Amino acid sequence: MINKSLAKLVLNEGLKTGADFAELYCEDTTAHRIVLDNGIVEAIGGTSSIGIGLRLLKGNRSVYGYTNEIKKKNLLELANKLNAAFHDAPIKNVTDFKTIKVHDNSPIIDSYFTTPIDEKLNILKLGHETMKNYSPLIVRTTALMAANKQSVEIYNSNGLHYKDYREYLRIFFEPFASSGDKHETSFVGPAQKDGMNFLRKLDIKALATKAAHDAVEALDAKECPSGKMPVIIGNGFGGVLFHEACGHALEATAVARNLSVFANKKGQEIAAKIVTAYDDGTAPHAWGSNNIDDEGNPTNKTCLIKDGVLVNYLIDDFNGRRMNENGNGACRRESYKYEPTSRMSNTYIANGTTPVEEIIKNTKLGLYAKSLGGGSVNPVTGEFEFAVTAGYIVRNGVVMERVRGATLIGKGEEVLKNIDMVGNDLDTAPGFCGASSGYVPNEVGQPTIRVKEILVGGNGGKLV
Amino acid sequence: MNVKKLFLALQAKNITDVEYRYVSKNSFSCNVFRHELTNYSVSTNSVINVDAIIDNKLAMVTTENTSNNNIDNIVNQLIESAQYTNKKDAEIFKDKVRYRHFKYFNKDLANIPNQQKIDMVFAIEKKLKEMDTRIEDVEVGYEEVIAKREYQNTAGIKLKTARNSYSFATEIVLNDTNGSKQTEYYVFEDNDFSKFNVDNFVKEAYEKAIKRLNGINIETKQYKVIFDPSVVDDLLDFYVSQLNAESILKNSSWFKNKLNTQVANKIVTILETPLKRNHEFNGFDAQGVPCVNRPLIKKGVLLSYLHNLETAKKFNVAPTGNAAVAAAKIGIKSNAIHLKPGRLSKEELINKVNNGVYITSLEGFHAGMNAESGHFSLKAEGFVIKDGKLDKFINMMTVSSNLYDIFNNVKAISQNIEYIHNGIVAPCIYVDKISVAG
Repeated sequence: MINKSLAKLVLNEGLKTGADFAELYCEDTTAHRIVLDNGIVEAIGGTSSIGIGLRLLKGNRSVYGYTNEIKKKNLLELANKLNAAFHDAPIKNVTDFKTIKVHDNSPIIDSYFTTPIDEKLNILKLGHETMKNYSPLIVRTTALMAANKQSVEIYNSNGLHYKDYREYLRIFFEPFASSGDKHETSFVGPAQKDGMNFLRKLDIKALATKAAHDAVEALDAKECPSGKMPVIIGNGFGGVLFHEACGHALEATAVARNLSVFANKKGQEIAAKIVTAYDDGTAPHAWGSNNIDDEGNPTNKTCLIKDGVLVNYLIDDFNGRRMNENGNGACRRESYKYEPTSRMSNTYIANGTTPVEEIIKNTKLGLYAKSLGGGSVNPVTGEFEFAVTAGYIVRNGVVMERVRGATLIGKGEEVLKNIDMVGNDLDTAPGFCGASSGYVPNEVGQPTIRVKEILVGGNGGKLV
Repeated sequence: MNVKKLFLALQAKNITDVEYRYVSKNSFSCNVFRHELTNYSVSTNSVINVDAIIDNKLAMVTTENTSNNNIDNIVNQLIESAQYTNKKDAEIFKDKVRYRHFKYFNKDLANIPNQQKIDMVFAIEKKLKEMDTRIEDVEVGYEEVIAKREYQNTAGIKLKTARNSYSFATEIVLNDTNGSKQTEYYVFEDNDFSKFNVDNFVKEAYEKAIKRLNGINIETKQYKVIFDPSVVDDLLDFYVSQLNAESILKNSSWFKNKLNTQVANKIVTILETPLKRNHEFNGFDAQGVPCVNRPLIKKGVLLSYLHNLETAKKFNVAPTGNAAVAAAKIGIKSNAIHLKPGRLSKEELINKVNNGVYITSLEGFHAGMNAESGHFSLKAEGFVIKDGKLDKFINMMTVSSNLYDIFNNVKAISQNIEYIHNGIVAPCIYVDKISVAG
């Protein structure tokens, strides 16, 4: 996007007033989406985004700016505006760049962007037809495909230069069921970084049927009871609980400034002994994987919790300065418009040994949150909330009536210690995580787990 | 980009109905944490969006490459997209009409040196930290934005607008008596710098934060509830989003077939007020259609849906100025929603409830609100209402109800309007029998 001599010029301009580190992040992204609404191709088109972010660091201070006016004059002007934040003599100068070879963990054999549109339309049409034909109660369907290709170049004042290519592909099926004044939607949205290979391996009919089934079943769901109760959390996207309730509080963004409930707790038992958890940015083709992070460091498989004991945080180089630790490949950003910081990639609780049937059989009265929607957390207090998208009441060890409108709230540190059963059915699921450096693709995951007690919100009175 | 050249390039391919939109944003921001300037940021960004009617179908391209070199690429992308789109009946706005103009723009704002703003951020941090030993940490930020927007089409409509604003924000971390931590946020936004006073900001932020200490848990049951204007704002946002005429046409809105029927309590009147001369002023929508002030729901009766050109044509009504660019298509959004206030003051409303819960925030809307069915169950914050007055902060609770039931069963609306956010103006509302779990 820009050549080495211009990169050198801009970085040195940034370094003029005493910054100890300068970095250019150059990005060229094309997004494409196809939307079928009730089987009609309603939108098909692309968005292109091209721009450069410049970061200057001096001790614990960071200065960041970006522009999509990629001309020498504009870039030098940006560097000038940013270096005005410091007032010392220069301590560093870039003379040349060494290009670092980046190993591709997830090579794309068959790109979405070179595949004829007809093949993609046929996949979406099959999804639409399957949902529509599932039941006359399905009154609207949306089938959507969204792809991104992102070319990234990083230059920094350590004289290092990195190039990376990332391609993302996701498919969504969203049926809308209606019966009288009752309306429900459901959603499935698998995603990977494996180009068209990913789509060709999917069982489209099974996915669309599952989505339609969930929406229709939800029409007859009863209001969820409220109060404190045992909660079984289903595998796959259930891992969003760990992501929100614990993962964010393990990011250096919060830890470095002592704004995390888990700050200064390395080596301490923060979860039940049966809990081991990882963040793995290297898993081939996984939605949250990358070859390098957005500072150029190779991504890692990082053990966060081992048998209940906190062993590692997720660290970026800048926040690592406050922690006296090096970054571990966890620095991410949505685009050049965001200053990067430590973020999760593919985060999951490791498999346990208990069969799921046993977990249910051992629950006398409680909620089975088979699938969760999104949630959020305040890393300072550890307080979280999650929506349950498919919930059932468990009575005497048997899964009974479906319930709707359930929310789980609590404190991450309490929930981690209250996990008393971990299943053997580990699965992962994709999503997007929003934080200070924007929305980035993440996978969450876990086997089915049981938490002894969580506060459940619902409109159905007390659980009896 | 030279728009004339773009239109000519498309005309050469017999594409004559074209719309061009340009949005630019310049910003400056800084943050102070533990007496250090931890963040300082400047940005310049612009994006163009072009759509064209090709064979009666709409094709759209969005790009940050705004140079003339990109014109041929845009033309080719539009032609390719149109080949595969099935959706017909697209059109551009050609009427010659009058537009209302108002610029929420303060030229003086950019002339104030950044160093002065940074000094104020440091001053706020220092003063807040000195207010109370229970305050463990304070982060203070400043942000200033200049946003410009242009619209042109081949029917000769040319429109442009600009606005600027600044905001000071703080996050305060407090040590509670039980050893836990509490956090509170406070924001001030305007575009007239003379309206900002450091001491007032510190006082307001501190008073808001300190109320969170010594919180209690409450029993799980149904309560009389007052929703703070900031919460009503969020609820209204979801409620009004369901008036989208596209959702009505596609059978996915609760409001389908309810035009001119009683959908809410008689005390509920909801207006669109985009032409009010404040920071939410909006003179034209994404299709160049003038925005208008109008009632959507009057005394509980649904009067109108939200339309773009396409849905207005299908409903055989005039367009309402609600077009918005969505992902690769023209969508619909509301403008400056206003829930008409009632007669009681906030204090009188609290007194009327006597014993109940005052909700100051609901969290997790993105996952916990089903706008189509109206069911929601959300993490909440607020205070106990005891003997007609606000009492202790409530530590952790959820509120579960149904959006449509709330506006049907609202018992009273306050006269105070305290919160303006995302163009929504709201007073407090009082609703009976809301499920609260604590």
